[in-house]
Amino acid sequence: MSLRPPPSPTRSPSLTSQSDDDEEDIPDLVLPARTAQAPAPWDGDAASLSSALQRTSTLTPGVRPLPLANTLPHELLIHILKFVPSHTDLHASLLVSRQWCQCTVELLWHKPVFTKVSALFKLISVLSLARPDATSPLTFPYPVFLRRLNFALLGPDCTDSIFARLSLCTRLERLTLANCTALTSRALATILPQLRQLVALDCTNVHDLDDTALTAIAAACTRLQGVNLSNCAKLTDDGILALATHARLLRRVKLCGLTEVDDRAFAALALGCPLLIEMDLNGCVGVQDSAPRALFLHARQLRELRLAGCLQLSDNAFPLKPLPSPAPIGAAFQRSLNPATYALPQGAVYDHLRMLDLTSCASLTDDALDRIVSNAPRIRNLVLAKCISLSADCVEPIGRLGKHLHYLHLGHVAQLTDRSIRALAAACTRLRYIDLACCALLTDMSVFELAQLPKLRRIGLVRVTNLTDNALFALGDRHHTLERIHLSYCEGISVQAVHFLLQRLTRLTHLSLTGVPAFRRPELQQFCRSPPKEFNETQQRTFCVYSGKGVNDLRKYL
Amino acid sequence: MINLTTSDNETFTVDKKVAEKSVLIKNMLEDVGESDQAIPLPNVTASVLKKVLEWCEHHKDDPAPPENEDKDDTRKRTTDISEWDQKFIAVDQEMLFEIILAANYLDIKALLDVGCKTVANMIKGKTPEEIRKLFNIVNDFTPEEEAQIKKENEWAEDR
Repeated sequence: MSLRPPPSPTRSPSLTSQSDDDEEDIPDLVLPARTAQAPAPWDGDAASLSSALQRTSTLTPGVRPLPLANTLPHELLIHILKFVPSHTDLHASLLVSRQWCQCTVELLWHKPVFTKVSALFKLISVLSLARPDATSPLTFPYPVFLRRLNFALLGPDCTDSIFARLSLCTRLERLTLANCTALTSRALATILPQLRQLVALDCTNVHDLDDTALTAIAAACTRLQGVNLSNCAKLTDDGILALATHARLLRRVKLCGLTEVDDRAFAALALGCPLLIEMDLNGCVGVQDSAPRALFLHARQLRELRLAGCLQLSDNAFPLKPLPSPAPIGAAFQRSLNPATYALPQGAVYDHLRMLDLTSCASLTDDALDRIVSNAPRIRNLVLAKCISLSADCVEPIGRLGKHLHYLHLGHVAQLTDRSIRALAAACTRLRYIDLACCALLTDMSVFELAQLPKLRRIGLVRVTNLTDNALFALGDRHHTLERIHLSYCEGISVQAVHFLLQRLTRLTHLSLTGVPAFRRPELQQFCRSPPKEFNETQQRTFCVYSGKGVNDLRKYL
Repeated sequence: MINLTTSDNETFTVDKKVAEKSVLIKNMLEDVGESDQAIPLPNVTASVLKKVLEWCEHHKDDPAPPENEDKDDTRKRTTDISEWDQKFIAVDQEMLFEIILAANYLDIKALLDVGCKTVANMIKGKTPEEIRKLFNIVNDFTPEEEAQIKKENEWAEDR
């Protein structure tokens, strides 16, 4: 028998229902707002409950037989308990009394957090007792209290039969199945479509997930706003097209490493989901120009775009520079004659884009950057590592981002010269992070320029082999913001210069000096981090990275 | 100036700006317009209203809370209370709960939160028995119920 206590004497107009919106990985979601405001119905016997109810109803002014804490209206007790963030404290509150129990239980089950897998198994065993055929009924309908669940802790131990217990959790909004590699497509296709309230689903590395399962999920879970299908390598165009047809509310989409999906399917997704704010297509080798084209034309809210390793991308993936206003007569017509190119509608700016990763897009030239920056002028993070076709002049369009640019990766853009870096440092004065690994033409002059950047916190100069101690003196001289410095394989630097650097940079937390001959000495290497296990013997021997405490120890020793 | 009458028939005269920290009073004033007649507050006693008005006076110039605040509500579910509020709310337990009830009735969200956070802070780190003692709450579970609840929620204990 299920009883709901009568409404509390004082209605609270100021209590607003709690929204489920504080997850870090998917912020900015608009979510159905609903959580416990009324106490959970008690499935126990009615007689013993009535005494508890009587107490609640004795709240009349002037007559208070019991202390106020006993007569607090339910919604006020719930409001208090919402400020109790730790599960340990909520668990204690649960066992105080019947009223406290009813007011706590839904908060406790709302978003269970696990540090130990044994705890998760205990929760799962309660879920299995909730099945209709179970012999002893549960006190509360626990499965429907669950809004968020993370099974990543289970990983490969999450079997289909464990997973099947979620079918009763019909109010789940966020589910993480990352690394649950044992799950079969059949189970996913059966259970997930029953969870129609799902807003965010993470299936990273659930390798068996196929088009059939994804199609069933997309058709049923139409409220999905965030989905991570990275490395679900069985997926092909059909699955992604189903997502494009049904999941119109998608905002954050991560599809890393879907090698069997073609350009047209990604383009359809961009077209079908106008609310996209994040699109991660790293390693999707099928991407050609249509997918980015559809994103630029239709996903106008996009903030983050990752296209690392999309080797087929050409400059034409990006919209042409906007025409000057007023446009020269016939210019727009002239442009429309070449179907390979396109432009944003006159006057439109792609100014939400903050993050763009084009790592290893080896065909892109300076022209691509010119187009990108002309249309998306507020990019904050730009990753161009291994864009080997870029020239020394690529810094001209990059420089037009000016103070908006905070993070720039130009590793392996080998044609860069000191002149490029001078122009860059003069234009992008708020750079916090710059990586110039393997830019072999650069010399100390570049470092002198970069050392002027007032906010620089991290600088990567791995294998910039021309560098001498003078570069380090420049960094030490001018910088009290630097936290991380990468100098591996800069063979010309000496112990004295590093010593100087350490004395000056009090905030330094990371210093890499692998392959620097001067540091190949046991008394200096004793403070460095232990090398990763997968390194071979030579790599192990040369490995020399100081971080955290190691930096301090080295500083003291020198 | 606005006149407010408490359940024990005391009348307080306050600045309109102070009184309007209460959404209930603000709405009343909008509905009936300003008049010399006192607004009756039958659910609040003079001693509690005095305390509540002290809070309203101190916070009368605070910016109005954002319209749609559900979001922030959970995002920063912090138990931080400003220093002034902490001193203000350092009262005996009976008064603390009276303030919470009054803030709820008068619809003063910020004050309600101060009160509720204070109670939440009192709960932190305590066992069920300690909480019962603290608030003088009767344990009305049957032993069987208590055992079952414990078992069903055992996962939350496993840290």
